[in-house]
Amino acid sequence: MTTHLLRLYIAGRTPAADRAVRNLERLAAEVATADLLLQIEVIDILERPQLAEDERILATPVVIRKLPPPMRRVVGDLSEYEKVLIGLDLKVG
Amino acid sequence: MPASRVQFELIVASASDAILMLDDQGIIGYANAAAVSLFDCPLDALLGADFGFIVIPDEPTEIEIPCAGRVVSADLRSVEMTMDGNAVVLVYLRDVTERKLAESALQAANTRLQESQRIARFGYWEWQPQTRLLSWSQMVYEVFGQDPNTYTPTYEGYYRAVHPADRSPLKAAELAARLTGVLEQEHRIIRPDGAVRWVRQVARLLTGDGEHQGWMLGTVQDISERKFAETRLRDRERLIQIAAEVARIGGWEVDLDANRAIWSDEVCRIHEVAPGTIAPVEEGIAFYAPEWRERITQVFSACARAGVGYDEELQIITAKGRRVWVRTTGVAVRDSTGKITRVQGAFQDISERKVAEERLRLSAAVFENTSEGVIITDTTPAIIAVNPAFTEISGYNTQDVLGRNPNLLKSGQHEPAFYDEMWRALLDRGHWRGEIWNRRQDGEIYPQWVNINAVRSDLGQTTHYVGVFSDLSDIKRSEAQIERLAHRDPLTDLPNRLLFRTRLEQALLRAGASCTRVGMLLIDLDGFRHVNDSLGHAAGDIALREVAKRLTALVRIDETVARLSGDELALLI
Repeated sequence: MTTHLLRLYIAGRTPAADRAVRNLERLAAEVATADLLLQIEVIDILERPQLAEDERILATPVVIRKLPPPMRRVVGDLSEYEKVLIGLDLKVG
Repeated sequence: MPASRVQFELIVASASDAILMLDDQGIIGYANAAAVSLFDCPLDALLGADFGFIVIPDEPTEIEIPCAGRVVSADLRSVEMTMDGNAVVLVYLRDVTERKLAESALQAANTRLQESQRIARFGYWEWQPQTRLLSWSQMVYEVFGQDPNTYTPTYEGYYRAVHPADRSPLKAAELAARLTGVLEQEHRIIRPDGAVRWVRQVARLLTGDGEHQGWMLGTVQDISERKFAETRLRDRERLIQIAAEVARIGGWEVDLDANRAIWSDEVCRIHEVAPGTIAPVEEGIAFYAPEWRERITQVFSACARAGVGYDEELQIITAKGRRVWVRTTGVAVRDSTGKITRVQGAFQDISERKVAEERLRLSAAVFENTSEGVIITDTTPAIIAVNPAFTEISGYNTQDVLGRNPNLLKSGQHEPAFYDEMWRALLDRGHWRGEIWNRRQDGEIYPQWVNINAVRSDLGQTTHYVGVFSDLSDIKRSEAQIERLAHRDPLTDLPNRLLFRTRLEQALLRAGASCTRVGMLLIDLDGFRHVNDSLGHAAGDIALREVAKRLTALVRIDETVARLSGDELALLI
C-alpha cells in the first residue's frame, strides 16, 4: 500500500484557498483505494511564514508532493482533479 | 500558429501584467520585468524556480504571492501553447492587492455604516411611486418590528403602522414634500406587538429627468428614547413648577463676583416682578421692608464672607407695594479652592402661614383668658386640653384631667337617658347645649351652662369635641334670692301675703276636690304698737321674729304661717 503526503499551502482563508481545500479533500476521497492513500496536511503560511521561504513557494494555494521524488507542485484552486493528478504525477489505478 | 520565443519576449517584456513562461514541469523559463517587480525577487532567482503545474478554471483565479514577509494578491490566468516546438505554459498575473484593499475598506465601511445605523436605530428606504415599489434596509424592518423574511413593505402598510393621530400630519408633510422636495417629520408608529415608538423621517424627492425622477429616498430613525426622555423631563419640570407654585417656593442664586442675583420664576412672582428678572444684590435687598433690611444685610454678608448659612422669616414689599411674609434661606457655595463664589437658597411666600399663626395666637389667647371653662377632647372621648378657667371652676388641674374621660366631672344628678340624649345630639347634629350639674373636685355639686360642638375635618369626620361652659352657681343663687324676695317676708322669713294667698287658693281647691275642710286663723298681736313705741323698732322686730319662730314651731310641715302685714299674722291649717 502506498501513502502519499500532500501538503497544501494557503495564505489565509481566501475564496481560492477554500476551494482548493475542498477540491483536494474530495479528490483524496475519490482516488482512495486499498493500495493508495492520500494524506492531506493544510498549512497556512500566514501563521508559519518561514515555511513559505523554506519551500520556496511562489504562489498559493499550492499543493506539494515531496515523496517519492521528484518533488511536484500544483498551483491553483485544483478544480480539475485529473489535471491535479497529472501535475502531482500520481498514478491512479 | 507556432510562436517564436524571440517574438514573444519582445512583446511581453514591457507589459504591465507580470508574465511567466513555464516548461512542462512547471519550472520558470522566462519572467518579464513586471513579474520581477511583483515577486519582489531578482530575475536570477525566478528563472529555474519551480512555480508548479497550474490547475484553475478558465476564468482568472485569485492567488496569493508570499514575498518579503507580506502577501500580494493577484489574478492568475494561464495558457498552454507550443513555442519553438516545446509545450509551454504562459502565466499572466495581475496585482489586485490595491483593489482588494479597497474592496475590504468598502466592506468595512459598509459594515461600519450598517453598525452605526443599527446603533443609531437608523434605517434607509426607497420609494418608487411609478412602480409602487418600497424597499427597506434591515434597520427599517427592526424599527417597525417586522421580519424581513415574511413582511413585504408597502406604502399602505406603512401608513397602517403610523399612529392614527399622526397619519394626517404625515400625509400633509408628504404632499408638501412633492413641492419642496424635502420631508422632515417626527411621528409615532405602532408595532405589531402594540409597542408605540417615535420615529423621525427625513426624505428627499429626486427631481429632474433621470430614470429615478419622482423617487423618494429617506431615512427613518427610532427616536423613542429621546422623545420619552423629553416627555419625562417635561413632566418633571411641570411637576417642579406646580410644586413651586403651590408651595409658593422658589430658588435664587447670587454670583458674588458679578454681584448679580438670579431668581427662579416663582421668586419673581413673589416679588411681583417679571419672570427672568436679574438684579444686583442691593436691589434684591431693597425689596425687604425697612425694618428688616439691616437683618437681611447682616445674615447675607455673614453667609457670603464666612459661609454661615441662614434661615430667616422676614417681610418684603413687592413691586406692587404689598407686604409679604417670606422665609428666605441661604447657603454658601465654594469653588474648588474653597473660596465662596456664590450664595444660593430658597425663598418662600409664608403669608398664609403667618396669618394662620396669627389666628392661632389669638385663639390661644382667647382659650387662655376667657372666663368660660373650655374642655377639648378627642373622639374617645379623652380630654386633651383644658384652659385655666376650667381649673378655676372645677378645681381640677390640667394634669389631673388630661387623657381622662370627661365623665369624671359627673355629679350623679342626671339619669343615663340625659347623657344618651346629649350624645345623640352631638352625633346627629354636631352640637348640644344645656344645663348640667357637675361635681367640683372638692365634691360640691354645681350647675353649668354647657355648649358642646363637634369639630369636623375637611372630610366631615369628627375629630374633636369642644365644650365651653359657664358656672351657673351664682346665677342660681340670685334666682333663689329673687324668688325669696317675691314670696317671703324679709324680716321673719315667713311667707308674705302673696304667697299665703296662693297657698290658701291651692288649699281651697284641694279641699273642694277632696271634700275636706280648711282652717284659717288670723292673729293680731295685742299691744305691739306699744312695744314699738316704747322699746323702739328694733325690739319690735325681735318680738315679731320670736313670734314667727314660735308659731312656725307649732305647726306641721304642710301648714303655713304667714305674715300679712305689720303685726297681722295668719295660720293655714
